[in-house]
Amino acid sequence: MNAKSSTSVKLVLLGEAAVGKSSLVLRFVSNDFQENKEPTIGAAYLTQRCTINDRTIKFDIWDTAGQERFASLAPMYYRNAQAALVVYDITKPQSFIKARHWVKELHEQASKNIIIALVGNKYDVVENEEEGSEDSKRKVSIEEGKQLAKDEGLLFFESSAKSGFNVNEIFMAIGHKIPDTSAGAASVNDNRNSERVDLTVNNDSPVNGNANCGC
Amino acid sequence: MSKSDSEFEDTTFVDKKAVTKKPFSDDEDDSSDEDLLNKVNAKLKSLKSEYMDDDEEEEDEEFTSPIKRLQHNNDSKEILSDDKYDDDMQDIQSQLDKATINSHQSGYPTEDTSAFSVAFSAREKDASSENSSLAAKKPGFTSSFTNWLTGKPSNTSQQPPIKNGYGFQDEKGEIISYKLLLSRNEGNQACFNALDAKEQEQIQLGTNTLKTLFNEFQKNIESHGSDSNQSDYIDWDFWSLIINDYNDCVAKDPVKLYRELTNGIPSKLRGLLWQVMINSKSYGLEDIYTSIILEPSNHEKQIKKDLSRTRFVTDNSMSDKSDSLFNIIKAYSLFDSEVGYTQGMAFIAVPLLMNMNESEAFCLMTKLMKVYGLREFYLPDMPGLHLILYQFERLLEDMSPKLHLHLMRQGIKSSMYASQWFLTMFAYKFPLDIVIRIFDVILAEGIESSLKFAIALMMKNEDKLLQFNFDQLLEYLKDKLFEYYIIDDNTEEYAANPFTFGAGSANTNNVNNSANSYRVNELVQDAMKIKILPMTLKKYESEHEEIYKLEKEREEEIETLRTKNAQLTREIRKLEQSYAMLNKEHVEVANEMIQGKVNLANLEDENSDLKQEISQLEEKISELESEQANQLKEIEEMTSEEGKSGDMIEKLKAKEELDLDLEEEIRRTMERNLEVMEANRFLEEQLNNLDKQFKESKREYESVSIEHEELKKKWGIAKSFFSD
Repeated sequence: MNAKSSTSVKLVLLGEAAVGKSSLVLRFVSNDFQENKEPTIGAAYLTQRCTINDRTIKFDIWDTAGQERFASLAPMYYRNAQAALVVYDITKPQSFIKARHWVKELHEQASKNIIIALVGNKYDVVENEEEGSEDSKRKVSIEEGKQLAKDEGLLFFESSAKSGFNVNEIFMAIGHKIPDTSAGAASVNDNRNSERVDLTVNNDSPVNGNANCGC
Repeated sequence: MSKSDSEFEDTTFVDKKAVTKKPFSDDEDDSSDEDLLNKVNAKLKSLKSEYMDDDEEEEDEEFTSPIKRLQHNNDSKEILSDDKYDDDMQDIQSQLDKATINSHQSGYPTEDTSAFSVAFSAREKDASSENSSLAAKKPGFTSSFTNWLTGKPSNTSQQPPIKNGYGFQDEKGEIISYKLLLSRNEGNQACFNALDAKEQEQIQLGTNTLKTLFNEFQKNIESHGSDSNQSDYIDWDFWSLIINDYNDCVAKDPVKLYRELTNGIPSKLRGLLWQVMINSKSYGLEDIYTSIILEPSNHEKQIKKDLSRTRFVTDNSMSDKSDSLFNIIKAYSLFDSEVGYTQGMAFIAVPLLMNMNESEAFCLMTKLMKVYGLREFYLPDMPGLHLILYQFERLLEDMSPKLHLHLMRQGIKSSMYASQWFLTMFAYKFPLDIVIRIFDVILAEGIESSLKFAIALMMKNEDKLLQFNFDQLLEYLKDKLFEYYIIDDNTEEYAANPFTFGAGSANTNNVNNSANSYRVNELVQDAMKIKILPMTLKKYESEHEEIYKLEKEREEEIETLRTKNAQLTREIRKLEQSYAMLNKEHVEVANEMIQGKVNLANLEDENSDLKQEISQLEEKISELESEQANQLKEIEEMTSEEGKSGDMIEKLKAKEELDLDLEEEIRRTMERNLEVMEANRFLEEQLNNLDKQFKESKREYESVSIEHEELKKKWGIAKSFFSD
């Protein structure tokens, strides 16, 4: 908010343990990859600037711990986040179920106009596989991901932190959707809405756990 | 007492003054300064009240005279009322001046800038003089108090006795605050006593083994000739006292123990001593361990994965122990299924494994979890972590209001950077040689003592942190706090201290992943200067509980509101649906009505048409009727003539038929009449006969009755005759 065309975006990464949240951030922030990245304890904070349409966007990224019991720390990070990456591992059906839960929780608890991107990570694992081959490592089809994204109004990507495939694209897409704060009235209106405790979304979302999962 | 308190008040004045002065000298805007000032003042007040509480508690322990307490209370009230209501500005000014002088006289250490220690040391000085005057009045007080404290006869009379709740004041004027040490050991004792006799025996056996090992180890070292290497110097006398009766040492000489812990446990004895301090080695538990590691755990996969991607494990000296590490974590996940496995546990297990064997490390870990309450950190929802984060924030607020305020303003909460400190006891990012030393203290004082290190690190970096913004703060707090203790100048002689075990030996013998060396002793010493009372922690714990309760209530309220809202939304939707239906019906009805009206108009038209037709028709009818009437007249005339003759014939025919019937009837009646007349005549004859018979009978009767009269007369005569 300091410069005219600079926008700060608070972004949070959520998803099951070991799906590659920290690796996605490392790729985006440092264009680097570590094969065995240590588990995140608590949460990590990183920033990255990028320019989209003559606008500088600074991503304030909160990379959260994935293990279920760290969930009690998560609300602090997503509470007033403007964007969220919900990450799953396309070779792990369970992680897709967890992603559904996170989407649901975000819809219920986060600010109303949060931009959510659903990210199926570890694309590199299936990259060279023939499509539809029997012993495919892929356990969550791209259609399932797309469908969930469509139902819930999310951005959708399959990505690979290892190869770098689609990683920047995720953040660019989010950046494009972030309203220009200098645009004034419209976003002011939005902000006012987001400050309220949102009680309306409880039973609206049709997400119900493993109903449509691919396992 | 009274003097002590007024003195204390004065020092807070100094501090207020210092704080009020400072922002004005800065180039910050005025409004925020005012804000800051208010907050700091409020903070100081709360600090002040806390000291009062502490004093009161000590009074309960030490001075039972109600008069003293009353006096103390009056004094503090007086000061408070001065503070609040005295509008004589000059008086305040003079107080401030006096305070400044006093604080200078008290000569508190300049590197320790926190309001806490300033107030503290000033008060401390005064307290000692206060006590000596008390002692003069009350002979025997000082010595008895010292006895209570150290458990030794009062041959330490040159050391001033303590007057505060923190612990012992040594000859250099430093406070040794060992209350955590005492309370932890009490806790351990209570836990030990709560065990059943069998398990107690198992632990006793374990401890005996440790003692034997210790003695063998000592002999072994001594037989190899005294090692002249200073860094390997071991105070065998002291440590054998510890290993032989830890409880006794804690009770009798906590000060010495505290100092030795500050200097670090000799690395070679560390494993043995840790186990003795926490009472962990138990053959019973070790048996459980050996059987439990054979069982499969559903956390196995994740543990393996996490261990393989955690750096310290893949590195050199831990690599041969990675199986043991896996076994311990897995065994614990089976042993305590409620906790299972939480990321971060491995960081706790590593320092243990480096100092003892696998099963011993398991025993120690379970004790840390259950007795020391570490499992609360790893439970789902992590209640222990949330509590310690709150305590940390409150302590920081107490000890450096400025830093606390700065962090708050930058929007930084303790959970953002300190979760990983407490979940791994600093092992996540901190060098292992530091972590090992932290473990020395934690095993003696409990998990709470990690707060000392956290606070000490914050205080040491205070100036730097105050300059940083949000992003810089987070980066620094998470990864760089300990860099304050990096030895950047090789000439710096940290080995000057003869008790340098940790830093020296750790760097050469133990794993040290980073290329840097650290002044570990200094860090530990700094941390051990931080005074944290179990009572303060308790207080913050209840605060935290209160806050947690309120939050829970609020969440529940929101949840009920949400469900209510959902219900209402559903109702609204239903109503909307029925409204839509009604609306549709209404439209239909309206359409129908319009159609009806159109129809009506059409009908009216038709009606009037028909009416016209009717009247026309009526006219026609009346015409026709009149025509018809005329025609009828003609017809009547014609028919009346024809009809008369015909009628007569009909009538005659009918009459004939009737006459025939009548004749027949008359004939039948006459016949019947004859019959009846015949019968009547016969009956009259009979009647006459009967009449005749009746007359004859009557006559006969008359004659008979005459005869009877006569006879009667005769009977009378005869009777009278006889009677006569």
